[in-house]
Amino acid sequence: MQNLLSTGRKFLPGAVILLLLVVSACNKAAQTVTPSLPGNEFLTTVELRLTNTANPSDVQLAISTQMSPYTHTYQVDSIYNNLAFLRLKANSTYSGQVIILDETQTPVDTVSLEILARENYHLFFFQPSPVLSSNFDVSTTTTYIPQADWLTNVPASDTTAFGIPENEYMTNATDSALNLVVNRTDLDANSPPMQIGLKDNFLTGAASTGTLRVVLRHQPNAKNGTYPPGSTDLDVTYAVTIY
Amino acid sequence: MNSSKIILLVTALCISAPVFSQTKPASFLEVDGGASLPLGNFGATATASSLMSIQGTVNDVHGWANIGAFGSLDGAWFFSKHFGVGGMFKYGTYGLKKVDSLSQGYEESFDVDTTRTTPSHYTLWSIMPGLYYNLDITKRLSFSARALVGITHASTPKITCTIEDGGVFDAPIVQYSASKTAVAADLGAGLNYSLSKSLALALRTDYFYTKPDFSIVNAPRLNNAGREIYQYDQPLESINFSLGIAYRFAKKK
Repeated sequence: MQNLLSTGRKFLPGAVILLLLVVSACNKAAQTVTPSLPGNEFLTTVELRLTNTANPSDVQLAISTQMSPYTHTYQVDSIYNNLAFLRLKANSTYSGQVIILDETQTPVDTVSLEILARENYHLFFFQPSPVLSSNFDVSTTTTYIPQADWLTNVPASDTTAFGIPENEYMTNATDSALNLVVNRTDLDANSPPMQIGLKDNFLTGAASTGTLRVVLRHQPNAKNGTYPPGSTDLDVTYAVTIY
Repeated sequence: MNSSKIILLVTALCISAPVFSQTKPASFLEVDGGASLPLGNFGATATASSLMSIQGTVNDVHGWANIGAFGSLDGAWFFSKHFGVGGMFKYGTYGLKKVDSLSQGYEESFDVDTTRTTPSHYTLWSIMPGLYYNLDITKRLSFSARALVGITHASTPKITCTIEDGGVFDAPIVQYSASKTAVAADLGAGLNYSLSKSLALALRTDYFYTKPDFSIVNAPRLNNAGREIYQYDQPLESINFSLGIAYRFAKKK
């Protein structure tokens, strides 16, 4: 009996330790970090194509691009704004479309189709400036950018077409405001659906001038109609003249 | 089909067993540990591309379970020279495999720069009484088999995926752990080698089956994209290989 107990004392602790080792060996937390995929979408050009709903022949195309018009190559530090302007008729409604291109590809890649496919986490914002304070309303269904995210310290050398400064500001006076309101007209596949902004209505008021800033926010698992979540995919400013 | 074969084998052995011992086998208490190979969809994985979904979420029947580990305590009392009743208490755990595919599926679905996926483990606690069979082959070597039915309390892993794009961390994707208790079955066979009158080594293979039908809760998904499951109703089945040490109680004369 003594021998049996002695043998038991030899084997049982070893067996228990073996058991604990086997069980604990698989309790390490697994974690996987997946880095960027090579060849993610890339964009060079943002176009606004506006059609006057009362006069289909009145089509305005504004182009902001990083493709050099001289060498037709992508310039990482340059934006070519010479075609980045809109001339819109006063007191009119234009149906608008945002077209995003990658002009480094042959044929040219229409990135906005990719944005449309991924509509559930992309949202466009349109900020006219100077904006009339009585029009300025930040909500989940308006296209205004919160004031905290406005461009306010852009160097004077950075201008839109026609040399208009890009800095944004608000005014109380109708005659000094850019009389333009942009409304999104397309909806995504979220539940409930939210706006996207690839298709929009541009409503003009009295004759005025200013700028229109267009921002595309990428909001993965964060899109809720507001500006802050996510990061910015594009941020361009156009000169606008309402006549 | 596998379980049917095991039942037939055990039955055949019981019927055709030659008698090496005229006495009842000693009751025993056994501690085991070993590896568990998940079977079927429980151990299956998906490719990242099949988990990519950009205009709605995608369901996933795969369990992603890696080879697991378990420990058990079991014992039996023999009422005849071959048959006994007993039970097993078992704890098992399974990590997840190919988490990079899971992670890349989220990354492609949300078109982000980086995803970081951290899963916890499946855990299974089982209490299973049942029938034990023993057949002495030589003086030291014996064959044993068991058929157990009981309950298992199983938990699915919590899967957390943080997403980063443009230097910004957005709302993480979280699939919370779910738990459920379900009926489970275990069919096993093995060999025992006597080290002494009271101690024996046990080498065993078991087939284990349970089907808890989990209801899964996820953190609110703001945008419809990527893998998202609400129900996991696949069987949790495995083949278990174990090594154990048994303490045999003295036979009553």
